[in-house]
Amino acid sequence: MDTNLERLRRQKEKMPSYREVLELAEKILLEKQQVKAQDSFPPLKMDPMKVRIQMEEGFPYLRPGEIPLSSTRMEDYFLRMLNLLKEQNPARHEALMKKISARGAGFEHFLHILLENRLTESGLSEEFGEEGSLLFFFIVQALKPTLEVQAGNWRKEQKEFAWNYGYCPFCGGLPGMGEIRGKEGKRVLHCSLCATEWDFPRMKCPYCQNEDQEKFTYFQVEGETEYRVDICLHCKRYLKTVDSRDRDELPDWEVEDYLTLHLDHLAQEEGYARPFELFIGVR
Amino acid sequence: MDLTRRGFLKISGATALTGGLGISLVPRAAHAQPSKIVYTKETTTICPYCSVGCGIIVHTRDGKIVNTEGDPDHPVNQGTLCPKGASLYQLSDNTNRLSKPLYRAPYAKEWKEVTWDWALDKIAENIKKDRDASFLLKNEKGETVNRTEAMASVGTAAMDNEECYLYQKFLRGLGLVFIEFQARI
Repeated sequence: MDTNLERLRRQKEKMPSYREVLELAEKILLEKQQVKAQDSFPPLKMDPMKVRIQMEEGFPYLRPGEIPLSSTRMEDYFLRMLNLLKEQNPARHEALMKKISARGAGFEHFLHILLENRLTESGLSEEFGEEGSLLFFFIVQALKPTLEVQAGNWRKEQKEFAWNYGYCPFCGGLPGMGEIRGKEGKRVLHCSLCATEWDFPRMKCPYCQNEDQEKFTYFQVEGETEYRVDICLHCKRYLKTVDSRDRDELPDWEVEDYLTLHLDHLAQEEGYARPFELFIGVR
Repeated sequence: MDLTRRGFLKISGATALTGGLGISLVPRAAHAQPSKIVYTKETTTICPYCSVGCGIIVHTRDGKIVNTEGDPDHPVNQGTLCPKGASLYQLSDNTNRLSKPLYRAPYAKEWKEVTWDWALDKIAENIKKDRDASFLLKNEKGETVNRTEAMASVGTAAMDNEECYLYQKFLRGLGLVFIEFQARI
């Protein structure tokens, strides 16, 4: 991760348009590292037999109600992120805080309705205007340290497992980015919520399960051969993918996500969408 | 589990933070100024060279092959390839490949370029001449054999099943008995 954060630091000089985003992102990611390192997270207690059957049927490891939430820890990270925003962009911070105060609700309230699928980015945008996306981002981000640690513990216990779905086998989140890895060129998907990685066929859309090769294409920006944007012409969605075969270090998907913001712009300009939904497989 | 009918949110991850900060995704500065994007298509195929049947992904751009690689999801090779399979790309793009037939006459030192029509006629003529001269109706025991032992065929691994059938049928019709296959020449 440190090497990856270093990469983010170096590359941001080359991306002046996104400098403010990258600076804040770097601080948020650093903060997440610290939260993960300092906190101890309650272990998950689940019946292995039940979990095995669940997963064979395509249900992720976590089930509703079993998500190990520690709202104190999450709120702590949430507040730390708000502080970072204050340092980075005081005006935006003030506007956001005013709207949160006007709502008269705290982090726990937002988290609660988020997990009940009643809090959406578009809903927040209606109520909170421009700051809605930011609030949504912070609340979702606040879930990550806990989920990442728990997912890491879970992965250590898993031996080989077959998982052929486009959502995360641990938390049910959608992939944040794809990776082509190793000398065999296997495709690995990275969960946008808990950072779990799982193998997925190259010729399959993680969003709509399409396997018709005629409906796949990818584009690259000239001179940037390590990145590609995989496109499914069937569902019109895209997934950014990093080809790590020529790299010494495995990439961190969040860092790569920030470093390829221009690819989001290009993909959306081409008419493709990037989907996001929480815990898709557990509902 | 079909995800197609779910109402996905439009933004996530880095793009959400960008939007939240009120920053447009459209780059203002040099980094991605009208970035030229290049579309490529991937198609799976089977290596034509030998009977192992390794899976390969072919990358094409504007109908031209730009890369080939082992298919990591193919059960036979799981992404790996032998040196010949790994150079499959050169089947379509290789300046060292012969593109016209060459002929070296008996006792001649030099090769000369000939047309396909001339080459095919010459091959047919030589086959006919050798076959007629060497054709055996019966063997030493007096059994009917109808064969020639003066010619042999080393078949190509790049032919498919149906082509192999026809080719073998043609060779048997000529009376060849030395019919072999090559895989990695």
